Amino acid sequence: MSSSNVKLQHLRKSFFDIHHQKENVAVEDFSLDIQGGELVTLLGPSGCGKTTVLRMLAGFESPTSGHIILNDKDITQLPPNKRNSAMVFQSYALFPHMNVEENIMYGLKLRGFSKEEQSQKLSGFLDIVNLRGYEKRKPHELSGGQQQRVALARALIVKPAILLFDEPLSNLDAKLRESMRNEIRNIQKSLKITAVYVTHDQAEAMAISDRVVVMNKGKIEQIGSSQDVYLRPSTRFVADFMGAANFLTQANGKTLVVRPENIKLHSLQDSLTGEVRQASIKEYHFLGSVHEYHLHLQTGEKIVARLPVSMDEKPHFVGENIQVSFDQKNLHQLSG
Amino acid sequence: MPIKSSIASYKKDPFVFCSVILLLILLSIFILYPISMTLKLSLTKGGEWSLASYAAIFEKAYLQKALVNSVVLGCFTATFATIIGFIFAFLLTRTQIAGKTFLQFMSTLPIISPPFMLTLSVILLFGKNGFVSNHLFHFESFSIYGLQGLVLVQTCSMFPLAYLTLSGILQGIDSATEDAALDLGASRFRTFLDVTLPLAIPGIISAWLLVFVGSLADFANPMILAGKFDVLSVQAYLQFTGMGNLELGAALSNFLLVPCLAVYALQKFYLKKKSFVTVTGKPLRKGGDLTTKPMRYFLGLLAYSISAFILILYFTVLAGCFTKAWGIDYSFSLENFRYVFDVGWKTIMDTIFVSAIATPIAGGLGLFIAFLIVRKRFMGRRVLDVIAMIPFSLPGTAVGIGYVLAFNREPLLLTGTATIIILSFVFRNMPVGIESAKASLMQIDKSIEEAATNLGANTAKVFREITLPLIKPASFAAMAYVFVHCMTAVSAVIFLVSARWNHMTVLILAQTEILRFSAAAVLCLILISVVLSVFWLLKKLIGIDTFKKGAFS
Amino acid sequence: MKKHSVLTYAVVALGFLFLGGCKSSNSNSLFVYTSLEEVTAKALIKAFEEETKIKTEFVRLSTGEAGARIEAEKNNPQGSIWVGGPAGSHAEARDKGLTIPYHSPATSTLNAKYKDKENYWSGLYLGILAFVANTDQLKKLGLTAPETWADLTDPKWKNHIQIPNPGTSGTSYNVMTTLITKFGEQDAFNYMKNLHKNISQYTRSGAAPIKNAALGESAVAVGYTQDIFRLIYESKAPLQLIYPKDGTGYEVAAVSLIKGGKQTELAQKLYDWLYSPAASQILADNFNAPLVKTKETQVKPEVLLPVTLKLIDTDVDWAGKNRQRLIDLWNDRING
Repeated sequence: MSSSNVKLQHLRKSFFDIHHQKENVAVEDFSLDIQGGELVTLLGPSGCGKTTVLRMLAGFESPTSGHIILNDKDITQLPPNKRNSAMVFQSYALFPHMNVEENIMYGLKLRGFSKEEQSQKLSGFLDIVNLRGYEKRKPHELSGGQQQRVALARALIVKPAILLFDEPLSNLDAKLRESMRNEIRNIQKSLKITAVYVTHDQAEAMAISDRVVVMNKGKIEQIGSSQDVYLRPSTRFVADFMGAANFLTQANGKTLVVRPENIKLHSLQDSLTGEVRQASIKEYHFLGSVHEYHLHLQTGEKIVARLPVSMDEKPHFVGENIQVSFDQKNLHQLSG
Repeated sequence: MPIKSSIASYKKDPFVFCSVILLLILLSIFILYPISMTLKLSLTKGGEWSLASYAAIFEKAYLQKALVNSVVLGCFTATFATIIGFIFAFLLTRTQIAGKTFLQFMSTLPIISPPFMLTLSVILLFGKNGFVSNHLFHFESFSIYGLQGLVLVQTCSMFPLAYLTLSGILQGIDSATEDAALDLGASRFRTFLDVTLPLAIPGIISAWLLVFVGSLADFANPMILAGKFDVLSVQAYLQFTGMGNLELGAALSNFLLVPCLAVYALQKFYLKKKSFVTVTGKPLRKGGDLTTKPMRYFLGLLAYSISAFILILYFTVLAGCFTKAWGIDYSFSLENFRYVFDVGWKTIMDTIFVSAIATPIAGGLGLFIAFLIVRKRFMGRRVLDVIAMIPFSLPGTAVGIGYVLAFNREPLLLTGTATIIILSFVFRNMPVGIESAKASLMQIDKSIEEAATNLGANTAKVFREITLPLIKPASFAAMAYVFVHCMTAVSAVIFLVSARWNHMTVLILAQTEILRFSAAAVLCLILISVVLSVFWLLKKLIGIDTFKKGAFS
Repeated sequence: MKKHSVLTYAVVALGFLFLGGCKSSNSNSLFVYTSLEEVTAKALIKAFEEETKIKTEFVRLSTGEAGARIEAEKNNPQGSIWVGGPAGSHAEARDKGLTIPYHSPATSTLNAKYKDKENYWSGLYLGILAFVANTDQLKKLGLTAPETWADLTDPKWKNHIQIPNPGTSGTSYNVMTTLITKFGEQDAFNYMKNLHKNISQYTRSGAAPIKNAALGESAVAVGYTQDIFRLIYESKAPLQLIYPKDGTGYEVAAVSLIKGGKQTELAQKLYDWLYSPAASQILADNFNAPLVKTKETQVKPEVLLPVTLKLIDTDVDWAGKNRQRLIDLWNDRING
């Protein structure tokens, strides 16, 4: 089965608020070309419109204007049950009155597969999501992670052209989230299914995506690979959202983005070249893998630095006056 | 709870200790004692122990017939009411149909009306001398009296009960599960069959049963509209008050009690467990309908037609108030108002007085009991909970008879007073206050109260200064419903009225029986006006939102 | 609303609660249970109050209800006197120990037939059983008015006759005892079984059937002449009164004092007053034929009985003793 490509063209979603007599725009002019087999993540804070875009893709919301083209077919007006997409919901949305295998096979039942064919396919996917032995359990008898996997299997088994994920891991605890996201990515890759993933967790987005679409207030801030958006953010918003960032205004008026891990501390005596500043340490926290220092630069700005921990080195202390140097090759200037 | 530790906990909190004892005494006197009196009477005949009265129910042909009739009526009413309630609930929670506010209003309007109103209206329109049956058309052999009229009236009065239950259930179903089915390719109808309906089944059963016992216990409508169609609730009343066979009356009302209690227990313990309602269910469905357009139009047409019919019934009563002599002379007249104010002024005042007194007591007591049950751990907590909730599930007839028997002798000689009426209202409606308070209390984080205790407040202070203000809105809404129940009660209060204290609903019944339909209509109008005014007043005081969510069981 | 006001209100309400309880038992009014027609009762009580200045309140209950109410309240009677209702029911109450004897000086001129041998009750007026037919309804049905009791069982009257429920209404029980006196118990029950087929409704109150006839809700009804005459006079409905050609029964509307009543002395005054010229005139004005009257009492001309009318006497004590048994039998055999 070859992978499908999806084109989202100038999608717009707006509501008219009767109480306040004005138009609320949830998504403004969203365009994106998704290649076959790609996993694209829509990333942003709550209210940025990422879920709305996903739901428009799925058919649960109708765009106010714009088109969705799936493999050269315009599916914009199709209802959700006529599209060839499958969604993994945030709440998993498992059918509570059906057990695991009934949940997973539901899509196949709808498509008219025989009982034997259903069982065959079921078997394969149970192994893929690692749920063999749980067939007869009901959803309330499963853990969060297990429910997740049932939801995934249920979506995969119908071989959708696009797979949609609506913040599937946000209800799981941190450790589980990390292992699950890798599983999801591996499955998606091996099956070569085109996928659109929605999350507000930037680490998650970067870990699993081919490309990331950073959104804010209904608009696209930046589209790029994980490296692109982290190392070369195009706007201040993207820089700040993708991770901790220090912003320094330069003489030419442009803003410099300096990540905490790209800062080195030196004693006042050291002679240094390149971008150097004087500073004093105001706060110190030990985070396990890094030392975190809150610094006040002589020029007045406040920045945060994170340095790797080494057992034989002593950390700097609060109140100490030091020199701060920035890793040249890892500085990024924001355009505009 | 082991005895030692519970005694210790009582020592720590003497306020709780005293309150619990006091409450248990109160509940025993005003709930358990009347029930036991009715039970005792039903098990005697001519002063000696005997099962004769109960045996009679199965031996005497006319009682067997009444039993069968009651069950048949209940089945029809429950089925129709559940279907209609489901249509309304479905339209309002699963589609984007226009005029939701109107439909929501119509689906709850019958609740605040006096019990006779729809019957009165139906007689005005379809009775032997009815406007439709006699004036517009000439139905020769059709009679509204009997099973057909009762099913019509009971269904219209009780489908709101089904609607509220079903609406709650449907709202509790996570709409994402329906989205998931659609997403996987199911048609909207298929989704309804595979997902919505199976998950709604516990609610459907629940609604059906609630309406069924409601129909069994219904006394007001059959009193007027049954014709020769005998039902148990009326027989119980007639035997007790008209035919002087008090033992049989008591036995019949106890007999009605059994299915009511059974359904209540079933609801509380079994159906809740079977329910698949998710706690995090999103309220209403966003996005598209769960029906195709034609289906939505069809269902919408049904819902609007039913609403229109009910509105017509209400307007008929309104028209009846101003008609000189319905059926004979349709000219405009204010004579009926004059007559009612002449004959019924004292009764109207009495009814408002009694209801106004009973309501805050019921609300306050209910609140306090709920507070103890939800927030405190003590021996006898379960017992308190169960006893306090019993009266709500009893048919009014049982309560009425029980109170007459229990309080007609020293040391509590209360028959003929306003006190007995007020007490029956308080304990009958207290469960509403308890349920609503329980719901709001469970929504308030315990840690808020714990913080207050930590800072030095004792139980009473915590209750008064922390808990009370937080649950005020919901408890006001609950009190509004208690007030309505008090104003529109009939099946218990008809046993408790006296020469000195009458009740509007009893007066409406009396007027209807002597065929002064217009006078009855005027009384209904006054009753509804009072209820709506109180609602409006409370709405102004606590705001609209909390009101809609208000506790109603 | 401040939080305190709820509690204050509740406390105040509790106060009223007990006030309400006290209010009732301290009253000095005379409470009357009456089974007379409401209008008649009202007129009598009003006149009594005006003349004697004794505050009186009354509640109108049908015979059965009054009897049951008095029995239920026997440990704490609310009423002191029962006015109206057939002598048979007063006899039943006497047998149950619910009434006390009173030899009123006003009843000295009363025929012994119309008072209890031991002065437990005495008669006020005679109510004659008759038929009433709505002539408009008759025309519609193409029938002529029934003339005898036997006529009533003719199938042509199916669903067109209303009588009260004998269990709750003295009127209807009177019909039953009359029939039993005339035909014997066995034949009377057969008659009633046949009649049952023609009954559209057994009403709770005694006067409802004839009111229904006036409204056209029923073609034929059975009731007392005083009620029928009033209807004809007041409602201007097309009604025709028929005295049954094969004889008819009558009731002695009686009065007795309730045992344990709180205002026995005042009740005695009422008892006496009911035989005064003023009371007799009121009874006459209301289409009754009072048993004790003066030359001046003006009885309505319609009330005078036709000479050909056969009156069937029933044994009052027998009627009282057998009421429960006969009602049970009726419920069992006819209503079942």
